[in-house]
Amino acid sequence: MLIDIRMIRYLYEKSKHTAYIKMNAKSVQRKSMEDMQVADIVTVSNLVKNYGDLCAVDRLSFTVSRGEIFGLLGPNGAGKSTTLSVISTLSDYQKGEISIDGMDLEKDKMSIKRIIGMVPQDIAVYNHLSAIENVKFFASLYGLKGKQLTDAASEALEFVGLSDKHKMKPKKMSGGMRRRLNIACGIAHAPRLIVMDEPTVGVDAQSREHILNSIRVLQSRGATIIYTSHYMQEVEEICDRIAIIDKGRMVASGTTQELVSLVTDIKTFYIDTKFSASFDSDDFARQLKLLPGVKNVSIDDNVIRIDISIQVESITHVLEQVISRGLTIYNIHSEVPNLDTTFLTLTGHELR
Amino acid sequence: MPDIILKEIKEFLRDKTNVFFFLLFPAMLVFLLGNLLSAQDNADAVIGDISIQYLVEAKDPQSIAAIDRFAQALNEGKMIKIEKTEDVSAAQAALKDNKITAAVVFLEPAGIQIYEGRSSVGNRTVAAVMNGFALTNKAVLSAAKISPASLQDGISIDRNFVSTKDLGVNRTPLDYYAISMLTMITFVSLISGAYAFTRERDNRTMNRLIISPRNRWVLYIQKILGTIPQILCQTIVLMTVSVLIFHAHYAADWKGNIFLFGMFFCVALALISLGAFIGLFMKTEPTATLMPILWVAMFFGGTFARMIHIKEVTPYLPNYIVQSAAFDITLFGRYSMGFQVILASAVLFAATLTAGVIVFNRKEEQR
Repeated sequence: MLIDIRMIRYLYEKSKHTAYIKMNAKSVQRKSMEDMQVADIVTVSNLVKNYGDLCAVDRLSFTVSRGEIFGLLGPNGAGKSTTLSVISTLSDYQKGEISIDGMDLEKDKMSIKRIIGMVPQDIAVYNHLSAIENVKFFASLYGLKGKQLTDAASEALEFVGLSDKHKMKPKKMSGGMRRRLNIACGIAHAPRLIVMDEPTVGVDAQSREHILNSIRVLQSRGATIIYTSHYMQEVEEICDRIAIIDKGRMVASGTTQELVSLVTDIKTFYIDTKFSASFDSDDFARQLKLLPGVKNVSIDDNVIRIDISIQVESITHVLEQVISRGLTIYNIHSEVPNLDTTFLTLTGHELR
Repeated sequence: MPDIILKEIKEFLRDKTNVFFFLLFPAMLVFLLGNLLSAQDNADAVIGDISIQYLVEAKDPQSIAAIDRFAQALNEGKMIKIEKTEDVSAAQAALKDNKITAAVVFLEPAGIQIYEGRSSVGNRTVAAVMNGFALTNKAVLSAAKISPASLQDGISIDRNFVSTKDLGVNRTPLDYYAISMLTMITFVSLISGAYAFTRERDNRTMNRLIISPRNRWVLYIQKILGTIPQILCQTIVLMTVSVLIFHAHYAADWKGNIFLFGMFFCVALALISLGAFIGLFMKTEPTATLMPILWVAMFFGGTFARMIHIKEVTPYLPNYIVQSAAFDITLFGRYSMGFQVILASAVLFAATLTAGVIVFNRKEEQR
């Protein structure tokens, strides 16, 4: 129940924040981030990681701002997990510089380990230990002891909605519950940077929603999250910024809108109406084309197709024009380019 | 430090397979092999009760007295039951019915006639005893002829001349298997060691351990140390069950038993370290891979039956060497071989621990 209240508050704040950004574009977004005392918590510069002759990550550079959810998108073998492994201190790397929370990964590895939490793609828990024992064990590795440890473990389980299952062993849990326990084990020590590698793989819709909500709450508490997923919609929904990588290289990065704008500058609307026999559709099309942002208009079989610049946020002026001509609107639908089509265009293949 | 050790103990005790294989199974084997499968051993090595009926045909009172005193001494010794009879036919009938081991007739004027029974071991025993008596009696009679007074000086066949020392002849097959099963369970520690890391790999928890703010060498050593309670547990349980429930014997005194326990502990620790090192590279299930090797070594090492001994192979098997050292301690109170085993275990432990730390330190994440 506690989570739900936090969620409502968070979503309210988030909607305000999103609207604010939409109104004021990039400069305001930058200002907003500065207000959130942004310094980049992760800076990756020219990272190179080879496995023998195979170059898994090739001169990859990106930054992750403090407090944001940063998505890493890429097909299988793109280098996402390798990048996460390097950032999580699991893997060494050949070249490049990585700074986490102002510390150099090479020099301050142990200090960096203390502020990182990892939620691996595989469910990494001990089947013979109960849920609370699992969380306590992993939290204890970070130096938590006694009451502090017990409180942290209980809170983590409550956070993922498993407090009433704290004595249950993982092997008796459902897939979704095990995923949530997996998350609890990675966050109990209250890490500043959480690395999540496909945390919703193979779970039902309800558990997925729970997990995504939990991630938003973690963000609202100040954690920075690096997130990978094969579910494009999920990434689009949850991530503030996204980096698309392919074959170990950065293809593009930015907000969803920024990424979409890289591959197309139009969105298409379809308006279902009914023309009288005397209606001059060619003339009407010419008039619509004169409206701000309208790139192209075609009218065919009582359907008006309008391509509008992606920068234009409202189509009120278009609809006003339609209504002023005495036309009845039966239905409106749109084709807005999404991350899927963007990804396909940028990388040349589907995500999976 | 205790968190990993505690976790290892919990995992070990909560895994029913572990509890069965490392605690119950060896104890059951001590019982099964010791009691049920040792019939062959009993036939060869255990003489059993010796029961003799004797008839005195000698007329000489001195000889009759000597024979009766000899019979009395045998009965007092409780090793051989001997009773006098007046009817040689009845004794022979009892022999045929296997009611007695042998029938003995002390002839006139001298000599002993033995009617043998069905047990060859029993027959040899009776013959040896009667030969001993005949030689002694002959010596006494000769001495009496030369100097009758010497007999009055106290030369006798007093039982105080004989004292006994347990060199293992009173041991039962159960005692043998108590040691051999202790050896077996100790060598199975190799598999426990391998599981220390393969289990983390199977649980996908290795990466979580590696990214925690602990040095990898510390993690590695903690994982090894985490298995110590397991070694203690399995060794103590097996020794206790063998002694208290199955009445098996280890060393004759506490010193020997503590040394024995310490030796097996050192061997187990070294094998766990070796197993952990192997486990770093192992991609397969440790039991499926290592158990067949151990079974072969144990089979040819005499763990399951002491008759199996191949001169070119058995003496060089590590489990045979450890087992021999244990028998040296328990049967003869000799410790030199035990010390050598402890020293070799220490060297193996140090070498594999060092190598393991180096490999684990360089290991990339598990995928």
